[in-house]
Amino acid sequence: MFPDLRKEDYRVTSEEDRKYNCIAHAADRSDVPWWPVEEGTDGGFWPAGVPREETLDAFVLAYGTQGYVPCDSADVEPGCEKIALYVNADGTPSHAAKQTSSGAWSSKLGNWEDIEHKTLANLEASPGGAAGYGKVARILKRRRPGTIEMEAVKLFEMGELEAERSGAGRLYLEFLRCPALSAGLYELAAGAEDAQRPHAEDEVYYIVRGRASFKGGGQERSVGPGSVIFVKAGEEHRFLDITEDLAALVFFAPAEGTTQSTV
Amino acid sequence: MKSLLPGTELPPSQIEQEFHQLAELWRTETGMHSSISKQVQHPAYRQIIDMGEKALPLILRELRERPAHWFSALRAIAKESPVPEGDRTNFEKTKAAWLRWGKDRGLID
Repeated sequence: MFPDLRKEDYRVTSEEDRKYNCIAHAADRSDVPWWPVEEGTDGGFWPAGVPREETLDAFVLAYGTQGYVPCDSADVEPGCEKIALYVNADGTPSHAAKQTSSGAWSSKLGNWEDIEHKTLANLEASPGGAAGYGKVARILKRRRPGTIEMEAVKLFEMGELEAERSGAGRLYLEFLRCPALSAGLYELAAGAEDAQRPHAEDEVYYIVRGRASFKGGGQERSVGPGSVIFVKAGEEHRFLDITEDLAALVFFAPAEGTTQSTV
Repeated sequence: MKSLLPGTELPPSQIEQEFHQLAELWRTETGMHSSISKQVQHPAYRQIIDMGEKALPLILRELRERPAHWFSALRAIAKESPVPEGDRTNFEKTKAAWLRWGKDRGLID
């Protein structure tokens, strides 16, 4: 099944359990499988707002809701947690493994047991294409929950956040995450359409710059620098008629994606 | 959908045997995959769906005894879902809703 997995390379760490899968396991969830299933599917979860596509980018975004960002190295970094994403030969995601504090990797083998394996290569396919989970295509990392106390104070500069968001090529950059709160920078160019969907957490927007209308809660109002907007979890809302490039700080409570809901 | 009358009789033994063979094949061949898409598109899973309402009691018993993603098959056959929207992202709550649904219709004990 796994050409590079020998007996001495792994140990089984759980019973077989089909209630969750490797993608959920890497996100520390064991109550439901994570997969980009059609919205409303019975017994499946995919984070709200993430494209329901079997692509590497969508899976990176899914883990982004848990505070993970891409990184270059699979080496152990103190205070950090890492996930490795495997893809099949056709580029579709096949597996996720989570690094343990010792530098080994924890994987749920599909519907089977969880195992701890020494290397990422243990679960890769052979060069000839035999079985396995293809190859590792992306490493993600986040600060280990609980280590936030190590940085009781963090200072952010808007200019740096804007540059990081722009460099990441995404409309939304999460820059802070702790269990009770996450915060990010959301930017939309003048004339752009805001395609966001309701979140499962309460939200507050603070408009840093730009001008637009905001529609939600049965009302539509002009917003600009200094506007503060509260949106209850699950409430439909969006920016409309963006006449000047819009930048908004967004605060989620609890942290975005930590409330499992299909809203 | 045809009515699922309380007290629906168990399917003949050959249907039960065919179901168990297909279910075992599905479990074996999708075991290492995390993809729900791969699981529900597996030929054995599709054949079970094609068995129609006769498969419902068998699927529900299988779900109760060896929990797995049988929800898509149940929904495809029953053409409805008894799972409250807020419970769909929890496996145990989803399973409980379907088992309750089966009991209410006399499909399982």
